[in-house]
Amino acid sequence: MQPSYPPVAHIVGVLLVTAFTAACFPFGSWDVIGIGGTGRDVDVNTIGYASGCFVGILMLYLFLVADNKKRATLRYSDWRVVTARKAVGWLTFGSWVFGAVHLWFWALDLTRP
Amino acid sequence: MTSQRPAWRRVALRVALAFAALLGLLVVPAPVAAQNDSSGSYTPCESDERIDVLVMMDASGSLNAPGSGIDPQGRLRTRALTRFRSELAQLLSELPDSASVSVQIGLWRFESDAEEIAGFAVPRLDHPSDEAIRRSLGDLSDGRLAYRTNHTNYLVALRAAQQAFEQGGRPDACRLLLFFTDGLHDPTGRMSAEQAEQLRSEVCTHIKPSFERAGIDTYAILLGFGGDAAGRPVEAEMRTATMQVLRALTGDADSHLVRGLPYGDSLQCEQWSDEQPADRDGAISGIAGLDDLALELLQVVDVAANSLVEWTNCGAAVGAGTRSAPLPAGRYIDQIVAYPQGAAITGYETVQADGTAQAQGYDGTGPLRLNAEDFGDYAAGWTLEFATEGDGGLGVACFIKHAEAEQVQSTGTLTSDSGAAVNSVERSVRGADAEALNLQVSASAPAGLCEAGPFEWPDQRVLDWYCRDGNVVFEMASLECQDSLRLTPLVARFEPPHAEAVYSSGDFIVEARIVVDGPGSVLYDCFGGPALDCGQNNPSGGAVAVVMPDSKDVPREPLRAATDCVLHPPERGIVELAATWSPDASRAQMPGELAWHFDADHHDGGARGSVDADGTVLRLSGDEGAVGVPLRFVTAEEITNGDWRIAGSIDLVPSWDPGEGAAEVAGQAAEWTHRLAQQVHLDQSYLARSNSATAWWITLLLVAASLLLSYLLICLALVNSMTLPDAGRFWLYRAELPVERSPRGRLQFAGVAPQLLGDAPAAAVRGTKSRRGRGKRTVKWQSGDLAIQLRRSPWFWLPGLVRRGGWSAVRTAAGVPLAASPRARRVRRRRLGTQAAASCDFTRLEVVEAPGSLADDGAQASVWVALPRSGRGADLSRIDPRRLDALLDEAGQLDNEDRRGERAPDSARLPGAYATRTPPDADPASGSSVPPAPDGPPPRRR
Repeated sequence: MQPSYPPVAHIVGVLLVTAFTAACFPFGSWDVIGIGGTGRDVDVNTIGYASGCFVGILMLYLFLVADNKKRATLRYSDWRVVTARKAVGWLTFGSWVFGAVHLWFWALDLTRP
Repeated sequence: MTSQRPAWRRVALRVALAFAALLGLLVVPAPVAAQNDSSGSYTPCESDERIDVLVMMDASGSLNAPGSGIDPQGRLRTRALTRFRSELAQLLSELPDSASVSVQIGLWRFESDAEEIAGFAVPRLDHPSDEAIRRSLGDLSDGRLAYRTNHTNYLVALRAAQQAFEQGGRPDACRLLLFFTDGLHDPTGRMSAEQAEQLRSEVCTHIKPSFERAGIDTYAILLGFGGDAAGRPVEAEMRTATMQVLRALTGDADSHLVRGLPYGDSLQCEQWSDEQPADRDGAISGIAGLDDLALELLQVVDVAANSLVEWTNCGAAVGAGTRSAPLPAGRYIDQIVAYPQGAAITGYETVQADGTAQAQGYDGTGPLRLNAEDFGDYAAGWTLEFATEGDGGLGVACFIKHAEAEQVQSTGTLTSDSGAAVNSVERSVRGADAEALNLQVSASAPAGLCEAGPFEWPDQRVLDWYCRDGNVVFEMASLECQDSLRLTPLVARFEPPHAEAVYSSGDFIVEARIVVDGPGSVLYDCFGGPALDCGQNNPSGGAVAVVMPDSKDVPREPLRAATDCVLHPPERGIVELAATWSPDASRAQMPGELAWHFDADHHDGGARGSVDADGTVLRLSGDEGAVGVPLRFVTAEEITNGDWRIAGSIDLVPSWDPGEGAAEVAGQAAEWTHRLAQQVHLDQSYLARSNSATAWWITLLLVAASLLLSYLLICLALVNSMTLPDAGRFWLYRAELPVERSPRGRLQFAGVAPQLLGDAPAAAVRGTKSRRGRGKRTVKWQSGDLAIQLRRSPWFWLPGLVRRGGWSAVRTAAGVPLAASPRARRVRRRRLGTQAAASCDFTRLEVVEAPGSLADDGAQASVWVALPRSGRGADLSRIDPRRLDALLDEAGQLDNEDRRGERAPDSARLPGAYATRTPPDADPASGSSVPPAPDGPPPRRR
């Protein structure tokens, strides 16, 4: 019987969420892509915060469900250098930290008079 | 030297050269293809295409037969294919990264049938392999090339080629068929006129249209063409028919092998016109013509790889060279390449414009290349003549690699016509009657400028220009009273002389730029009055100010504006410069008051001048020297916190009081001074400063809330994603193993225990299957007298514990103390009684019960091991005996505690069970109390 491996699609999903959250920093404002027009960064930081702190954890949840299903087959073969769970855990943590930084910028913009 | 080579090596070299030259077809850029079309050359592939090359090798008896065969040892074909392979691989490896060409090559052989030897793949040093090349020539028999039949069936080979392209090639690739044959279709060994007519009919009616639709171009390479068919009319007819179909397939009517060949009665083949270059679908080459084919194809490679363009008027002809038209200066040409056509190049001669001639011989067999070191320092007007010999009658095909159009530059100095240096303000006190000021710019002549001149300099500031002693001199337009001259670079574009000889008209333009060293502008002041010079650094000419600090948020300090305006003091008297701020109502956003003033710190403290009390007027006296004062502004105070767009202008209006003794120019001076008024434009945006203290508390609060929410989400994720082990995927092994005490007093299993454990029978585990178990919080396993209750982690535990999984409570009906592995973490032993706690997250479970008294001989302890039914973890022999010993010792210690009353006995434990612990249903022979399940495991290896 073939061994089963960590769910790559879910791992890529976590990676994309982390990358998206990080990519929200240089955007500055959705003015760049023609949305918003406030001249401030509230919109993009709100999205970055939600993405980093909540969507990332949602992706972690989906990964764990898929990973546990594969582990229950007792033919699970994990990655060797770093386990998939550890990698996804760190990615989610990074995403969360990015989200918290977005929160700080969001609060700064919010408190402008 | 060439004539001394063995014939087979020479021919093989030519074949390989032809192959290598075909590589050019891989990389010909589209513009070159278009150019070739107009000049009559044939190019099958575009540069950025995928290209599939199929080599169809004749392995029939006419080539392989000992004695009568043309290439019986296969040396010719082997060497050609090997060299072709290596040169193709090398060329592809040397292509620049930007090249998008993709090449595949396949190898087939044919005689009476066709056979694939190597499928399409990227050519490498091992594709096609040496073995594949050898097999393409025929099978070996007694160390010699053999042939299955003496037949050569073109129809089979051509159909097989099309099938190979369509099934193994890429649909959008340019397809090249290299068809190696002896030039005689002989499908049965008994040639007949009917077979010849069938060949014409099939090829011209079916195969040729199919090749057209499939985009297959055919290169027919004839090995040993021209056998004597005298006295054999049928063979002569077949040879004619063969060449006719090859002509129809390739459209190569210019090949000497088919030149003048009639189509005879074959109306089918006549429909394929081969009179126009666009009719070409390949080429026919005999052994004797391979050099030409190679050169022609190498030429295509060269043109593509080196970005050469055709030089149509190089003027060479065979025998008596004709001198080229005058050429542009050598530095405007990178390379000249001449390809012999039906001739050999024996040398060349250059004659420079001053009559200096230089001749060079050439003994190479390939193209002649002249590089920049051969002619780079020649002035315009030099000519070139090639010397050729031969009887081909086609002369030389010339190509040029164009140089990049350059920009030449030099730096000039500004002087008056008397040669004196010029300042930014040149003064004359003669008033409006002053003579005009004449200026000159002189610089070292940029390369090629003087050669190209004279032409009208496209700049109104320049009256005239000329070259003298390697310098270029510009006579500038005269400055009248109060005129100013901005000294931006003098730029002109020109076409080098004779550039039209090698470039299309207007294609090669050189830009000459003269940068003037000195002041940015010159004002010719006739009144000795003040000057206000703005916008020197702004290409558009408007005056602008840079507002500082250049921050995103509103700064906590007054704003400063540095202008590019300079106020020059008058020779006498005082100039007053009034500044008025005017916001642009359509663009400005001003949440508060804003007023710009002259920067008193700058003017009163550092630079010269004095600022009045309200900061709106700057005074500068003629006594303060002739050097101008840059203007600076500042806001009265820090601007209010808000979103700002500071857009508007500061109006600068000077007024000059010449003082006593200047009555003769006062009237003109007042009017002149009024004209000096300027506007300085500002545009700067600021965002309101945020309240960082409030932001800090908001962030702290939301981070805490997010942490809590994230914690709950993680717990929810961990708990809901947990899947308890599926009983149906495990076997449970049970054995009664003898126990002894080690010299250190620890309990351990006797030496025979591993063997007994290895013989233990397996039993199925009854319990909740995984499909039902997933999502449940508790799952029960049961096998014999062993019961396991698996519990998922509850909610709101510490995330670490949740992450580590739930735990399993393991107990037996006898209630004897147990120890289990893997262990559950953080489960209080006191809550367990005689149960053992194991982790839920296991792929192998080991349970050991406490042994009976060691005072009795033959004390034993039960061991249960749950293993996966399949996979790597299913091997019972991988159980670590030391871990079982540790579990035994732990269970023994628990039992001792039990005996001493340190732990309350479990209510489920039966009195006396400790001493007589053999299960009532145990099989004494096997030591197991659990009968094998009907769906038991396969017999284990011993």
